[in-house]
Formats: sequence, C-alpha cells, structure tokens
Amino acid sequence: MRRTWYRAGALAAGIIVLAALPLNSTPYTNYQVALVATYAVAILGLNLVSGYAGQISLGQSAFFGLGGYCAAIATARAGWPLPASFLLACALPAAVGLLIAIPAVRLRGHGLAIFTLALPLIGVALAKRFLDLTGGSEGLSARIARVPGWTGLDIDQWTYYVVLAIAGALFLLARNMVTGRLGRALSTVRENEVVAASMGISPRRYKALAFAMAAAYGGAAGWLYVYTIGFVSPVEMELLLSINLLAMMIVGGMGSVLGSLLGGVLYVYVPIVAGTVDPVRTTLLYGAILVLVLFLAPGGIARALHRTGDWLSDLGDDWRRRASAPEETRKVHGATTQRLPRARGGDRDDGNGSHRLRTRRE
Amino acid sequence: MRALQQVIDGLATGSIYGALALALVLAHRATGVVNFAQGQMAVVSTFFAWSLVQSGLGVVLAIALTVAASLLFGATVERVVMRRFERESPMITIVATVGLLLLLNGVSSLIWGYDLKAFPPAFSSGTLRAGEAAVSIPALGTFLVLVAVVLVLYVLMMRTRLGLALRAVADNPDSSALSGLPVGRLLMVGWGLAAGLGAIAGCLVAPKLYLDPNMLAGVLVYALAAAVLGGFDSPLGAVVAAWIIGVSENLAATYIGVIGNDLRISVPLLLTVLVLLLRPQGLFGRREVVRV
Amino acid sequence: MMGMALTACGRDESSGGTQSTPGISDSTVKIGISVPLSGPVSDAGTAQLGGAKAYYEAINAAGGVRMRDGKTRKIELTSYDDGYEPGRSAQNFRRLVQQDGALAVVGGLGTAQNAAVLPVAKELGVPQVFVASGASLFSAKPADNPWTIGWQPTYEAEGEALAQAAIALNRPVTVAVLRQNDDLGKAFLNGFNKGIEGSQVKLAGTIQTYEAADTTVDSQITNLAATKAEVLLSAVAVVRLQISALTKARELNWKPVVLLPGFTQGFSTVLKPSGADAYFDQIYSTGFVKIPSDPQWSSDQAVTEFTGRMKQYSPQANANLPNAVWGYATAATFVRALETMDGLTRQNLMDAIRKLKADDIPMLLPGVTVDASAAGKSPVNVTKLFKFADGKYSLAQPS
Repeated sequence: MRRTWYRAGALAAGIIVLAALPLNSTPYTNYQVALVATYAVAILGLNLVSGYAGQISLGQSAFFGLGGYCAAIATARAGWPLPASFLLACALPAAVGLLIAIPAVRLRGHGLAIFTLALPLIGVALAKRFLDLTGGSEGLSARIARVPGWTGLDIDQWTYYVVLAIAGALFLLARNMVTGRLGRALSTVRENEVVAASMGISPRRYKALAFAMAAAYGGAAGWLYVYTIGFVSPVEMELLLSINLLAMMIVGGMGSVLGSLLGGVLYVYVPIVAGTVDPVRTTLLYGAILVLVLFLAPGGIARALHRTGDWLSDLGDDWRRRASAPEETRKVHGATTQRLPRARGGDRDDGNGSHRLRTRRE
Repeated sequence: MRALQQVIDGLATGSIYGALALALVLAHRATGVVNFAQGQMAVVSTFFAWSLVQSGLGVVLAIALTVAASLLFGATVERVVMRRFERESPMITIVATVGLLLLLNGVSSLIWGYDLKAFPPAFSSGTLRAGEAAVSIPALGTFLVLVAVVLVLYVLMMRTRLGLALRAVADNPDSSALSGLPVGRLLMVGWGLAAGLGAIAGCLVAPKLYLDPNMLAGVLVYALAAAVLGGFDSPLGAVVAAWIIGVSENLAATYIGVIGNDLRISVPLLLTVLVLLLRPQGLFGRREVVRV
Repeated sequence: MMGMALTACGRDESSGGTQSTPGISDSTVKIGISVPLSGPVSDAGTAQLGGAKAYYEAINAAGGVRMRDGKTRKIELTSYDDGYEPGRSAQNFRRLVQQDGALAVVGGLGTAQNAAVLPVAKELGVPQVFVASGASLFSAKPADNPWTIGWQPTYEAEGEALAQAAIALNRPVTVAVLRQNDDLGKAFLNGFNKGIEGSQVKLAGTIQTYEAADTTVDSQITNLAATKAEVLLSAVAVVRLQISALTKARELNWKPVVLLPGFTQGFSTVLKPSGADAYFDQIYSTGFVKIPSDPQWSSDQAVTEFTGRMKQYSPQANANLPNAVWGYATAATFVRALETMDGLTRQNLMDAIRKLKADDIPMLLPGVTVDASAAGKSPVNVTKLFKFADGKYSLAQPS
C-alpha cells in the first residue's frame, strides 16, 4: 500500500514539474523534452512487440517515418484537421503492420526479424520514389502546430503541452493494456508458444496484434515528431534509427513502461553527452552502453531502479518494524521476519503480509 | 546477351552475399545464435589484414595470418561476450549481437577512420570474355572459393567427429554436456570458425567494395535473407540462396519496371517470404520439431 | 493572462552581445555550425568544420576581423554534431541561437538537414548562410527565404557544365546516364538536359539509378553498356560506387566518353583504382575550387597557406576532402561579409551578404568569383569544365 502512495506521490510531483517547465525554459529545451516524449512513444511501441511479445523488430523506424509523412502530407499538404491526421498516422501504419504481420508471424524465429530489417530499406526507397508526394530526399517541411490565441502561450510551449499530453495518454493506454489480459497473453506467448496455444491463446494472432500496435505507436510517434520539428525526410525511416531505438529500449528497460520513457531520454541525450566528450565516438558509446547494460542489468535501467526502489523500501520497512516493536518481542520478530532469498519472478511480500504474484518478468 | 550478363553479374554479387551468409550459418549451426555482428567482425578482420599488408606482408600471407587471428577473435568473443547470454532468451542474444555490431563499428572507425581503403586482390585482375559476356577474374575466383569452402564445411560438419560434436552442442547443449562433450570449448570453436570464414569473406570482397567500417552494412541484409531462404542450417543452402537472390534482383530490376533499381531489396524479401510460407524450413533446411 | 506573465520570465535569449546586436560584442563575433561529426559521413563533416576552423583561427591569430565600425573582433565558433539527422540539425540551430547567442549559423552540411533548418531560421529571424549543399532550394527564392542562402554551385549548374563536354564532340551522340536516386541525381540530370537542349546530344533510352547504400552498380552499367551509347554521364556521388561503375564499364569493353561529377573525379580515389585513367580516352569533370593535392597548385600561395593552416589548427580533419576546402572558403566568404557589414544586427549581415561580390576568395579557381547579388543563384555559380589527360585534370577549352 505504502508503495502505491510513494508512486502516486512521485508521479504527481513529476507532473507538476513537467507542467511548469516550459514556462521558464528556452524553446530549445521545450522542443528537446517534446522530442524525448516522442521517441519514448516510439520505444513504447517497440516494447509492446519486442519486450512483451518477445518478437524482435528492426522495422520501427519505417512506421515512425510513415506516421511522420501522414502528418506532413495530410495536414500540411491536404489541409486535414490535426486530429484526423493523427488518427491516420496511427491507423495507416497499424494497417500496414497488420498486413505485413499476417504472413510474417508464420515465419519461425529469425524470419520475422529479417523481414522487419527490410522494412526501413523499402520505406526509404518508397519515400524517395514518390517524391511528388513526399518531397523526396530533400524532405518535406510541415509546420502543423498552431497555438490557439486564448492560451497566451508561445508556440514552443503549446507544442510541448500537446506532445506531452498525447504521449501521456498513449503511455496510460499502454500501461492499461499490458497489466491486463493482453499483457498476460503476450507474456504467455513469449514464454512458450505451445503452452499459449494449448491455453487457447493463438500465438499468431497475438503476435500480429502486438506488431500492429507497435506500428500504431510508431506512427503516432512520427506524427508527434512532425508536430515538434516541423519536418520529415527519408532519414527518419532509416535502419539506424530502428537499431538505436531497439538499443535504447533495452538499456531503458525491456518490457517496462518506465523503461520506454528512460529509453526516450537516453536516445535524445546520449549523442549530446557524447558530443561534449568526442562526437566521433558516439556509435562506440551506444554499443558500449548497450553491451554493458546487458551484462550488468539485462532488465535495463528501469528494472534496476525498481529493484533499488524495492530494496530501499524493504529497508525502510525493516527499520520501521524494528523501531516500533517492543524490546522483548524484537528477538522473536527478528527470527520470523528473516528474509528469504527472493526467487526470480516469484512472490513478493508487500509489507502488509499479503503477497502479490508478479506477472512481469524479473 | 544482356540477360546473360545480368545473370553472371548476379552470380558475382550473389557470391559476395553468400560469403557472409556462410559465416552467419556457421555461427548459427554451431551455437544457435543469429549473429547480427558477423559482418562487422568480418570487417574488423579485413582491417587487420589491411594493416598487415600496409606493413609490408604479401596479400596471401596476410590473409592466412588474419584467418588464424580471427579464429582466436571469434572464440574470444564467444567466451567473453556471448557466453553470458547463452541461457537468456533468443531476443536478448540477438540484441547482444546488435550491441556488438555498434561496438565494433565504433572501434573500427576510431582506429582506422571512415576513408575508403584499397585492399589488394588475392587474384590477378583481368577479365574473361565469351562473346559479349564478361566476367572478371576476381569475381570468378570468389565464386570458386565459395564453392570450395562449402565443400570443406560439408566434410567438416558431416564427416568429422568435430563436426558431429559441434552439431550436437548446437542441437542440445544439455544432453551434450551430460554426454561428456566440452560444450564451452566447442561453442568457442564454432564462433572461431565462423569468424575465420568471415575474415575470408571480407578479404575476398574488399578489393571490389573498398574497405571502410560500413563495407558490409548493405551486404548484411542480403546475407541474412540468403541464410534464411536457404534454411538457416545449411551452408550449401545459404550459398545457393545467395546466388538466386543476386541473379533474381538483377533480372527483376532490369525487366520489371515497377521494381526498378531502387526497390531491388524487395526481391530477396518477397522470395524469402514466399518460399518460407510454402516450405518453412527453407530451401535446404531440415524440418524442425519443437518438443514441449 | 497569467500565462503571458509567466512566459516572460527566464526565456530571454542568452546574450552573446546586447539585446539589439545578438552575437556581437565589442571584441567578439559569435557564430555557430552544425555538421555530422558522428556516423558514416563524419569525415566529411569533420573536414567541413576543420576547414572553417582553420580559417577563423588564422584570422584571429592575426588580430581578428576589422569591421566597419572601426573595431577589430575575434571570431568564436561553436559547433555541434547533428549525426546527419535533420531533426537534430534543426534543434542544434535553436540551441546555437537561443542558448549560445550566435549571430548566425554558417556553412552547415547536408541538403535535408538544412532544409529542416530553413523554416526555423525564418521563424527566428537568424541567418542560415553559406549552406554547403548543391541543392538549389537554398538560394532560389530569397523573397521567401530571406535568412537563408547557399554557397557552392548547384547540381544543376554542374550538370549543365558537363553538357558542354558532350556538345563539344560536335556530332550526334547518345548519352547513357547513371544517377543517384534522389534530388541530387535529378538536379544533375535536369541541368544536363538544359545544357543539351537544342543540340545534337540526346539521352539514351534508359536512365539507370542507384541507391547510396548499394553494394555495386554492375547491373546498372551492364544495362547502360547495352545501349552502346557514346557518352556516359556517371552522376555517382559515392566514391566506391563510382569505382564500381568505371571498373565494370572497362570489363565490358565499353569505352564511352566519361563525364564525372566533382565529388567523384579524384585521380587517386577513383580513376587509378578503377583503371579508368589508362582505359578511357576522354574523361571530363567539373570543378570550382583548387584541389590541394593537385601538383599544379603546389606553389600556389593560397593552397600552401590552406595546407599549413589545416595542419596547424585542424590536424584531425582530412584536408584532402573537398569539404575541407569548402569549409575554408565559406569561412573566408563570411569574413568578407563581416567586413562589409554596415551596422551590427542580423539584418545588417544579411544585407551585406546579399550585396557581396568578391573575386579573391582563397581556394576558388581563377575566374570563379563570389557574387551573391545574382538573385536566385548561389553565390558561387561558376563551375569550370576539366579534361583528364596525362595523369591530371586541365581546364578544357570549350569549342
């Protein structure tokens, strides 16, 4: 119970900070934070298919770019209202993702990964081919953000709020999905497809669904990107973006909503940090961080944070219990409250004597 | 005549894909891992060979030394990096290889830079002509070396005890361990061999592609497609698939207008999907049975 | 209403000068640059930055830039890596302006990258000048894009110049074309087509394209050779693919007149490795800057100065890449604009740039001048035709 209060408190504090931030920082900073939210959404989508459903996808950048082009072409070129182009940016990639997934999930193991590898390559080629529509390799300028006069905000602040609000809603949606039936079904599929099938969960259907959702989130992120940066080009579809998104997903925390957010932060700020040291070493830094995290904390930073948080509050519980127990019973309590080694993915004592089965992988 | 030339060109390009595909297949055959860093490892080996040549060694000797060093390199990478992840999910192992790819790319650019380097060919340059068709001697040489390597691999995997042990370990590490096979050492051998193959591949194609950290980046996709199409466990399958891919992408780009040159990459993709839907084990693979 | 009060505080542009003359103080001029310093194109970006740095540092060492208000100021260059990603280029521009208080952003590299910056420059009213890209969009519409201008000759201009070589053959010929599958390749071809309009030169039936990430262009050359065209326009921007193209043509026993673009003409980088120097009878290319490694300039004062300064101030950059020369020459052009500025505001800078004429910018070929007043054209819009013979390129005489 206490843990829930801590979490709620932290969340509320975070929201207040985020809400106040744009009023006092430069447009550059506001757009940077909006970009963090954007990439976090893309990584969240990737997490749905790779982290939760266990299907490696190297094609997320293709959907990101597709969503971006939807935003640019539908709104800037064809004059669609923003909500309509946002829906398109989610729906079209989802449809493409579903179309691709239906044959692709029948390929065992590596087939799907290699299939997804080809998506960015084909995406870039198509973006260049239809250059009357997409602007070709020179890209397409699309400043689609508009501030309503009554808010009194500058455009960067308005953009910040819109992007963060949409990203927040998408995060909430994802969280509800994965903590419910869908998440459990995906976990079962990931762990053992045969068991899942015997339980009536069709691996193919759920994998295809996860892939379509990942594509939808990727597209939404692309829309947010164009809303923020006002530009899209084939570069946004390139394979390297997919690889880096995957890498930052792992480092942030696979199969974790918080991890996706951390991944977004890392994606935007690792190159900047590398730039202050020596920009030439950026690729090296990405790879080194990834390998290091895999070695030391395969669950990513989010999992490490969770563990630290758990450890700290366990410590707090211990301390509180010891302080409040009367002297004579302390020894007895000391014996009965001896901590058993924590099993991987096993029960957790949440401090009130009741146990909660962790459904997420440790 | 143009079609014939396209076929010849396709076989030549296909040999480039096939060389890397072989290394991929061997790594997978021996350890069950799809190594996304195979191309990058090959590039590092080729840079090593290049450095040897720069310091005065002859090409063939440099390549031989590089292959030996690569055997060690591959074994070390397996022991130090991949061993840690062998019990994890396949997804983590693949991501680990992606991390390795980024790491090795960063390291090679740091040590050798991004400018293109010429690599001396192991074969004499020159062109063979038959009527209007022409094939360059290095391309022919690569083709023949590939065939030879496939034969050697076949003999190794199917007819030697080492090959049997390697296959056993990849198939079922637990049973193999119980049977007394030195599983760890065999995994290292498997990766070492794959790295050695990669070194040969890199040194064969570098004279044509010119050496830089991203030399095999474009080839990797094709090599993966070839390996999958051939059935990931068959060296012969990977090479034949690579040739098929090379030839079909050329013919499709030339004669199918809607594909053209920019969408050539869709050809191996469509081929792979089609074949795998009809024959999930690939062209030459064995049917896999999953026991619960 | 409260929003407006809240928005006011903490959001002023950080000052590199006063509110009215951002980027210029009594002793310094602050400028910025965003180039790819990581990833596959990092050597080009490093060279571009290195060339600019070499020039600015040399000027600073000699005291600085003497401006019209009588003060001599040193140039402070802030650089950021954009990894060749347009989103990062746009953000870097904001950062240079809003956090570092730069007067202007000079000499950025990349077409899509700077296309993303263009609207931001317009929004903020900050000069985005001397963009290192051959795309015509940067200089074409000064009325629409008052804060942006390119620098080097456009790809169209290069294509047009190469057309002269085909026309000079003075007989009906067909031209086989291999071009990059993007705006660069299209612009090249458009310029070439413009140049051959009304002449005896015609394009062959097929135009082959390639992608920058392709392994080889063997298949494309095979198709082009089958047309038996007398001229090959190999508008290939990637060095390894140009080598592949020329090698394949040689292997197929096809000996057209070869037209090469400026970035892939190098003797040691392209011609010798592909055997083109010994095989083809006629090779033409274009140029507008002096190639430092070309022996004909070995005692040229500008070139020796360039080489010395690169070694001294930017040793880690590759001085043999064209980007190093471009960076150096754009820096020189910018300094000239600073010298001719009346006043210290950004608008004053743009006014000076739009009037700029100079015929002594270092590293430009003799006869190539800067003329930014030619509306709709890039400031450097002359590119010369060269013929390769006896192991080197020499100015071709148009007939």
